[in-house]
Amino acid sequence: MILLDGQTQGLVIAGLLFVVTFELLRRRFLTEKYAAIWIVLTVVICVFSIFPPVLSVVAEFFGFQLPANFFIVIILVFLIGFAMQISLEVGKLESEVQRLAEEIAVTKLENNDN
Amino acid sequence: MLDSKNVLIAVPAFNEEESLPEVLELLLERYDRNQIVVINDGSKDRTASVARNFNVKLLDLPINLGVGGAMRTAFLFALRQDFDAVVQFDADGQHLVQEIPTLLSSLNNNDLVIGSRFAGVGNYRTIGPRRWAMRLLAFFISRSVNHKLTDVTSGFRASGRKAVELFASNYPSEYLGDTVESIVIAHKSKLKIAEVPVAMAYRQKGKPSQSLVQATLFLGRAFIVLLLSNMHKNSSRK
Repeated sequence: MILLDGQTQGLVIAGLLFVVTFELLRRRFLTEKYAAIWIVLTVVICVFSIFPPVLSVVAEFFGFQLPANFFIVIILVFLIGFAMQISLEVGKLESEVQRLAEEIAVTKLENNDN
Repeated sequence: MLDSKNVLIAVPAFNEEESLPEVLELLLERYDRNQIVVINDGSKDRTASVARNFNVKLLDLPINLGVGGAMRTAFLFALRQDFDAVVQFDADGQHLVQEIPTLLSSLNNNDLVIGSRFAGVGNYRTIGPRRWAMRLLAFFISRSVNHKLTDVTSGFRASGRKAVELFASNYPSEYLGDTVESIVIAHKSKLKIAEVPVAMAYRQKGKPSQSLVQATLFLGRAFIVLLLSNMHKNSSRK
């Protein structure tokens, strides 16, 4: 029993993503820098849901027989890329936090001495 | 000649409230309280107040950074306060105060001097797989820096002015980075590296691991560090 067709499913997912992203942005839990990527994803899902032929055409162009397969590959590439970006940011943050801790220790000592 | 009054003795300490008092007492017999700095590496015990009670300088890190991060803080402080050299001296009682002049005298002609446990003086011994792991590592590092080193994981070392400047901005904080990788970094920056034989006390607590599995893991991690440090672009960490 299928309640929703593919097109509607896509729109529902895109809608949810949009609401969540917007709400997190509004509450300042999410910064614009990271919101951009989710908004792009939302738009892409919307376009494919409203105009399914677009997905078929693009999938065919890249040599996929099933548009759905193409879509899954896109999502995978997106997630791997995003995970990589997050790893990079965490590493950067870690060394920034270290630097700050060092500065705090040195500044505290210098101020006590004077 | 290096003036020993202008040398900063850095004691990185993480939860060392038990062994730190004796270490500081011994250091204070020979050195001024203004040239001894304890780096409290986010300890959960009374390490910081021990240092305060002895009235030595205290770099109080709000979070645990590891030995490398603690030492980088000390290098930063030494640079700002215009010290000529930094001696790393462990808080666990393993290093001997009477060996500090040995390091410093060699620092007159070198930028980084490492106190080696295996170069003939003293009776420090490791046995079993760990010994071979350390030897193998020393062999490869010696080759990569074109200088014979026997003990690359020794934390007992002195850094001269040039090394302090370099390490204040560029000292690895990952496991084994502070000992192994720092040697490679110093070599890449064309610093003169030397090794002097020193005696060390047996570790007061904590036994060095001796199992084959641990030695293999140690060696594996050391080689990853070594491989990466040879490939790193030589840019300072921000």
